[in-house]
Amino acid sequence: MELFSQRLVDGLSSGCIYAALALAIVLVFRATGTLNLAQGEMAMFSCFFIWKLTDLGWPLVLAIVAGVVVAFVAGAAIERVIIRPVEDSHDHLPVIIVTLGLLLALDSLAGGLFTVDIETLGSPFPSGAWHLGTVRVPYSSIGLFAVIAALSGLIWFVFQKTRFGLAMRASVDNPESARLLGIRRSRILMVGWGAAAALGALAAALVAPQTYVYTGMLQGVLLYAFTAATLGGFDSPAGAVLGGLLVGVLQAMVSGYVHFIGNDLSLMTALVVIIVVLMLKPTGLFGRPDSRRL
Amino acid sequence: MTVVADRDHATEPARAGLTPVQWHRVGWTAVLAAVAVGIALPWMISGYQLSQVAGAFYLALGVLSMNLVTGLNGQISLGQSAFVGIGAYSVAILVTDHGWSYPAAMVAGAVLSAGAGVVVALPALRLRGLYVALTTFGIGLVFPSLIQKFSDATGGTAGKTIFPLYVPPDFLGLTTTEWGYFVTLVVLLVCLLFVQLLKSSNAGRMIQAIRDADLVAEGFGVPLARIKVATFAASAAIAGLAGGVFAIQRQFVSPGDLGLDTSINFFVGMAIGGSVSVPGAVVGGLFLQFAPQLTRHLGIAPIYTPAIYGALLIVIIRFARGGAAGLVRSLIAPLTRR
Repeated sequence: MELFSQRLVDGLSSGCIYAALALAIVLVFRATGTLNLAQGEMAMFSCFFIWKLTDLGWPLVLAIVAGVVVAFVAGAAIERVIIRPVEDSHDHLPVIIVTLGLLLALDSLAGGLFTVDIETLGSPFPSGAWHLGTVRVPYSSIGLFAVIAALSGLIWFVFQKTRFGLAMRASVDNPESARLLGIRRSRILMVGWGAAAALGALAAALVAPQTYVYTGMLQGVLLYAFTAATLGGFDSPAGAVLGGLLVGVLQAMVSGYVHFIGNDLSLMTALVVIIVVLMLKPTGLFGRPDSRRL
Repeated sequence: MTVVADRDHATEPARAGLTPVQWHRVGWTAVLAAVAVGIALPWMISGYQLSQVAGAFYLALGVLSMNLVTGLNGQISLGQSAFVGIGAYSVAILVTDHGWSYPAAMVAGAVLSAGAGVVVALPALRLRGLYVALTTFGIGLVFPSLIQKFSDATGGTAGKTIFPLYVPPDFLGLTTTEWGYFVTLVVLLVCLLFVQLLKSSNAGRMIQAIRDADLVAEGFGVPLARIKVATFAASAAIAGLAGGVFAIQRQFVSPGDLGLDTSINFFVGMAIGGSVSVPGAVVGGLFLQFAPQLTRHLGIAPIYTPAIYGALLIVIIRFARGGAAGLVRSLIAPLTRR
């Protein structure tokens, strides 16, 4: 039972990271209607930027804040300069291919501009743990829960309670009518991509103490995040958070209890979950069915 | 990605003084000349250069598999590297450990690739939208870890040397490099011909109709799911054959060559050659083989080669959707305007 509880805690804490990146994926999906395959690489690049700042002597928390802000601006700029010209609400292929180009470019630039070595980044949370009976709950996990809870609350608030969120939802539901009502879709797209990039940067900085900082640091995490978004439903922020936590717990349990899978095949678990969800409930837990007007 | 124009040559007017039938002949003459050069190549260049060209043809097969599924059918597959891997490891394992002949192992690899492709992509193929990109991204990412997991059979990260060597029949008097080149050439030509014939067939029109307007196609009675699954399987099979020739050329396989970046490189090759152009696949393969050498000559650090690929991909999608084939077409167009 202790082992089970311990795995639950560990799973939830990695689930928080998946949830954050899944939120970023959902934000882009809601804004642009496509997957950003470079989401992980954008976050990795931001993480290198944060690492560079700490390397230059900045305090960690300040570096993370700066990295998140810069990621927001860069994400919005990428949307405006690279994505917008090929954006087409009827054909998503061009955007996906462009994000693939972005993935290649960022991966190679991160190696070239920063380093191809594996670097370390400290945790912004105090080390040590809170002992709950025999279960060890690291302070870093508690910090992660708090950050994800706050972020989810913030995003929920923005989506449901502000004019901007209303405009964003309207613009996704019905782009033409929304534009006729004076909603500036272009600005919404930029903010969506910026917010996603900022979320990604934060997720990368928070996961970096475990994964270390290198160009491939988020490849696996991105697949878990896609799994989380599939499970929760691609257009549902709440689904992304819940999906992230579920995927984290599932991964911890499967890796812990199924010896054949262990840590080697835990990526495979993610792929299987995606396939099963697509077979049984393609919209995910909270997604809305895809319908189109002819 | 591109609008399919009327392909009915009979209704096209003469261009640059040549009737469509004559243009057709010009095209086939060029193809036959290219094939003749391909056959004569081993006697024209050194063994090292020949192995480079063979490598380009392997890449062309990978690009061709991408052309079929993405260019013609509009599905984004990032799993081609895994299908190449299944083909390559089938040859390596069946030949080395089970005494199969190379051709039989290659065919088995193609069948296994197609089967794996259908199993993994089937749930996504039934759905509209981006799910194929998602699951195939997963396949591409997971494949190297599967190779490591089953390292008893695959040799794990260290790779697996294929034994015995694939030797040419004695009466041909060829070196193994030349033999590997010819095997690659034959497989490539067969696959090119297959995709070209498929493209202009009834099924090919259905495949492209799904890309351009799936709902309309469905309304006209095109069986969406069946065509998508069949196209995906054929594409995976071509990728599996690509893996087979890769294994024959190298006589060695390792997971390092079969990661997600290989899939993305095929994508770049497809964009360079033109996503719907069959000869474009060969252009894409040659590009992928020789571009890294070119950038090195220009003094650009190899680490930036993928950045150049990525930038090219973005620029091509933005400004030149047709790739090289499209550029050729738009260069010829003013000449042929009456």
